[in-house]
Amino acid sequence: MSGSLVFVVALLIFVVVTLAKGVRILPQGEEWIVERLGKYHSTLKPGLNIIIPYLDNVAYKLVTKDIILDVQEQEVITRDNAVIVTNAIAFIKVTDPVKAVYGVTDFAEAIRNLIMTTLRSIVGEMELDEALSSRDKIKARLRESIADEAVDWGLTVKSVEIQDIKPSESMQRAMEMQAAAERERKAAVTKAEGEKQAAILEAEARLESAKRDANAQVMLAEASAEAIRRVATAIGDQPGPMMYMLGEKYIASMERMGSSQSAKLVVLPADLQETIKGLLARGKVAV
Amino acid sequence: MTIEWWHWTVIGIALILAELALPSFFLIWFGIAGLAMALVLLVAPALSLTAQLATWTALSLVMVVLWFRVFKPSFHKTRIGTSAGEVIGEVGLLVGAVAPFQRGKVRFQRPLLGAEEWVCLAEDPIPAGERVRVVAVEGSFLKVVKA
Repeated sequence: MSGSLVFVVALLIFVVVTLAKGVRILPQGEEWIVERLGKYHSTLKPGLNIIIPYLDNVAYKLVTKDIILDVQEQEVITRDNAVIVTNAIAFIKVTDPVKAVYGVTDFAEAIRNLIMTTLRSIVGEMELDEALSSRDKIKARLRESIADEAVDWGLTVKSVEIQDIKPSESMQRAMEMQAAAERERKAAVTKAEGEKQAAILEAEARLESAKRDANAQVMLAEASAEAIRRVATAIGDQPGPMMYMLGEKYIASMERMGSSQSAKLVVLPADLQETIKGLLARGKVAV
Repeated sequence: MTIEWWHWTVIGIALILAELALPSFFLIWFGIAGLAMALVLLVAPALSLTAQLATWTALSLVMVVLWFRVFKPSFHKTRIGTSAGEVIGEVGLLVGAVAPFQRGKVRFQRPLLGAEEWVCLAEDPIPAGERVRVVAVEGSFLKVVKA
């Protein structure tokens, strides 16, 4: 093998390697940062690009499509000391690759942390109920407060959405217990009120019935008095009819006594007429 | 072994095919130069191997230079998916006056980058109601000039 052939082969390898390293094809949606001897030199755009292989170095490859950033779940304490769990999702886009690379070590991680802390401070100023019901407000404030950092880092925050905002598990349990207790309280009050109502009604009923009983007794007494008066008027001075009536009733009651199963020993006065007379003696005097 | 003209043809075709498999866009120049070498050998069959390789290398470089002279690959037809691309040049209506050290507000017919209304910056004072053109995206702000 001659020396010239070796030289030509070496030259060929040099040309091939140089061209292979120098020609760079970027796909659409990516931009590469080129450093020349360690310093920023240029940004390669999509398409065919030429760099000088021994001086230039592709230091960073950036995606310029929208980046989906999942902001992980975190616990946040509201102003009224309730713990809620939130997570968010952000869509960002690199609009200045140089700033995104040289402004911050890891822009995705930086934005994620920024969103987390900002979310915490925004929710921390709100009451629990307010935080649960005003997502749009939180979103708008979130976007506003990360705008300044986004400029520094060459990023555009297209949108930040709150995915979940819910009380923590212990908080949920406490809220459920509170609701249950509230209902139990209502049930107890309702029950007590019912009992009170019932007692009042019962007492009223007793009062009413007592009144009526009294009335009835009075009326009964009046009726008896009237009856006695009428009987007395009807009898007048004649003891005969009265004796007859009494005797009849007396014999009837004797019969009942006799037919009774329990009492077989019946003591009868011997002189029935005199007995009745004796019974009525006082009445006679009254008449 | 002597190298005939068809050897170069085969090398050239193989390299051009390899370019399809490895989209690196430099093998194709060596392939085309290989085909050209076949023509050179047909004309001058007495070239030594060294001379052939040297000619091939030179032809490859000439092809690459020709490509960049004729087609200018730095020319970008589309801005889709580039960093500041799609938004630059859009015309919107200024709804809040803008001045140096005073942020204004600009509204577009269709949403740009996820919002219809943007806070904007400008080098010169522009009163509200003017049409403005976007020249740069700076984070969540747009830089505008009078359209």
